[in-house]
Amino acid sequence: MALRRLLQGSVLPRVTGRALAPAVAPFSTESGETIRATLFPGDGIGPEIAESVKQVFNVAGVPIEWEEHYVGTEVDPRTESFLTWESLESVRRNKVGLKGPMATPIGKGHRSLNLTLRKELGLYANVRPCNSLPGYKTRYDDVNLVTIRENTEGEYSGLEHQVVRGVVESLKIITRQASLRVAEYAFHYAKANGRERVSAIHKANIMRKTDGLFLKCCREVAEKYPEIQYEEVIIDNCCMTLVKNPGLFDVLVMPNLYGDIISDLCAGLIGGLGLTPSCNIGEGGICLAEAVHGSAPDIAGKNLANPTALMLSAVMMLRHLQFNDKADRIHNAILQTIAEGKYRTTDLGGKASTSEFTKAVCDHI
Amino acid sequence: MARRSTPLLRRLLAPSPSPSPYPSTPLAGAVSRRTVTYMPRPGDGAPRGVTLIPGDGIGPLVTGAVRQVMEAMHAPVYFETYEVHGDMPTVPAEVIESIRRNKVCLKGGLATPVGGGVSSLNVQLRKELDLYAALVNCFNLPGLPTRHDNVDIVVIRENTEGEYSGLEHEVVPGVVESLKVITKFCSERIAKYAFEYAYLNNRKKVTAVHKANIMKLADGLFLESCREVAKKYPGIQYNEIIVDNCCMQLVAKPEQFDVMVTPNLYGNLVANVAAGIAGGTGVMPGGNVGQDHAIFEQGASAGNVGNEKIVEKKRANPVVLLLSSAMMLRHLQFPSFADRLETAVKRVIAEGKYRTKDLGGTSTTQEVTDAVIAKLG
Repeated sequence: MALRRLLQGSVLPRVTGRALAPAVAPFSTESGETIRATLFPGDGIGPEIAESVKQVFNVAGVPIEWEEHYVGTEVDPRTESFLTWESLESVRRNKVGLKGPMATPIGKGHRSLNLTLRKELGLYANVRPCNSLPGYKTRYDDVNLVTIRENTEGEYSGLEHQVVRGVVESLKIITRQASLRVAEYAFHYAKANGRERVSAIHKANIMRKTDGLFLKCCREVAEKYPEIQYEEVIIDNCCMTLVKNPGLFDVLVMPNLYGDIISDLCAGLIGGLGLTPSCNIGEGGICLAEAVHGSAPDIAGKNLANPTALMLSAVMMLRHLQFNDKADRIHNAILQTIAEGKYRTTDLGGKASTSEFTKAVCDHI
Repeated sequence: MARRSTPLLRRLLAPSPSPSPYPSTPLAGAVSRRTVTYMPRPGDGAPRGVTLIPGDGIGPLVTGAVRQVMEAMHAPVYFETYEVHGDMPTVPAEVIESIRRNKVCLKGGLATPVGGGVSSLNVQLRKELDLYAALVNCFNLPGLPTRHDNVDIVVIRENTEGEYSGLEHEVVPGVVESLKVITKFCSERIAKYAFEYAYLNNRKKVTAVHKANIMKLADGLFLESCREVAKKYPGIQYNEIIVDNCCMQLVAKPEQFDVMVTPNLYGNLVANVAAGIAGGTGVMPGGNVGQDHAIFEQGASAGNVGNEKIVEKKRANPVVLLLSSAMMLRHLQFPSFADRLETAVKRVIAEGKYRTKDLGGTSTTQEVTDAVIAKLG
């Protein structure tokens, strides 16, 4: 473990293909075959950074044909949201997608966009690899972990009601089925990416039945993967250790609420949401990579946005499609550009514009 | 702990504990050595009883350290010790009786068996005595290097309801529900406590931590209560932050936070993150307080009692419990003893010679304790 980290850290731009691949894809990728992928550019800075990704993919020669879909202006009754049925069908058909930041319109009578995607596509696991970017200094240098969060149930079931005035109950639901599913994915991911340890994060000393069930499912799956170490960490200790010594963690698997908080905490350790890739895995092998930052309407259209998060998420998508070679090249190009420091966008402390940064990445490929 | 306590600063700057009225250091030369004095009522010096629960794991070691230091200071407290362990089904009635009588308790951690049939005794104690506010004070200790500077955060966490209601059941095999209960009554009183604390301690800002964009009714009710109380304290800034963003900000820019008020579960996480960035659970003091009683213990992670290796080698860190007992002395209105204890501990940490393993040193508990006793003024 230590040797692998040493090798990864010492030779600056050489990142192995194992760091970011979401899953073994059900694709046969013969060269020359174009894959169709759905692209949701999103709002605000979305279209600009989506352009950056398309440019980089062109230069790298990635055989992907994009099907662009936009969020509509009226509610589609079939999906009860601003995302049309056609958009969702497109993702179901293509099985891969890339999504930019979407701002949910305010108002009633429709579901939130993220909720729609999640429910309609059955996206059950959110995967975020958090790796310290060499050359971009934060207070933490040795972060190299992956957070896998159960995305469908838990505390975010949305089942609340007022019992009497001034007393509200909110239900947290944990099912065996969902817990097994996400645990299976976590171990599968760990195995496919050469990770050595999976840690289940819980609070089962207090929430004995709910988190207890989650842990039981993780243990069952752990038995099927004897080559992967398995441990259980209480969330208090996890938070403390992440903040003091994040290098101790490898793969983290957790229920919904803890996952939300811990994955954002880990994003903070490496430099924020503007640098964090993310990917949602759904039933039937669907992989929807997304940028988790906001749509930043104040800098939209000004060529100032940082496309790193969307680019890294697109790299995750490529690895899912098993274009490992291209993914490595693009990933290394991004890391090199950031490490050199000449072209950095304003949020990283530089003065480059989006197009300059994109051009620098293309040049490095 | 009063960070802005001037007597403390002066003691740290003073060259020696000799009783000369004018100090020789130029820095402290402009002001007199003592502040306006604390005038007790006759009889305030009578020893106060404090219930002491050593607990599990490293508990007995660190509470032993506190006892030694209290004796060395001749502090006006006497301890009534009770043996309680994490695997007992309930807290014994005599312990509760003793705490009700003494009103103050100092305790080491009680380890809860994971997934077992026993409910956490830490939680039981809090509910039984209605200690509805848990307070953790996270601040940088001079001389202890951490990745973050300018940390001075107090996390006030609702301690009785929320996700820790303990109401779970299996709906059908393979489907389990857990109820998170938020009431206006509890949310209001914790908000009131937080603002009152800020007011009494000259704190400028209170931040409410929530996830009301997802849990609209439950956390929405919590926020409503906070907003109502905020109106009554116009001199204190109030803002709200979503819990995942909060954790990210804590790791990036902790200086923006002052006092934070949170429901039960988020408070646990936020307190642990804040304690971690300021130095770890081995040094951050805290306590639980209710209308009538107070229990002082390790600030964050009260269920974490270390592992057997530390207990065997007697290398547990007593700093956290020593600082919590300084909080306790202040709570009991013995400010001079609290100041002496706090100064001694801070001097030992700043010197860096005697530190336990979690702070990067190799000392044993006894060595650190002796060092603190030696530095008592």
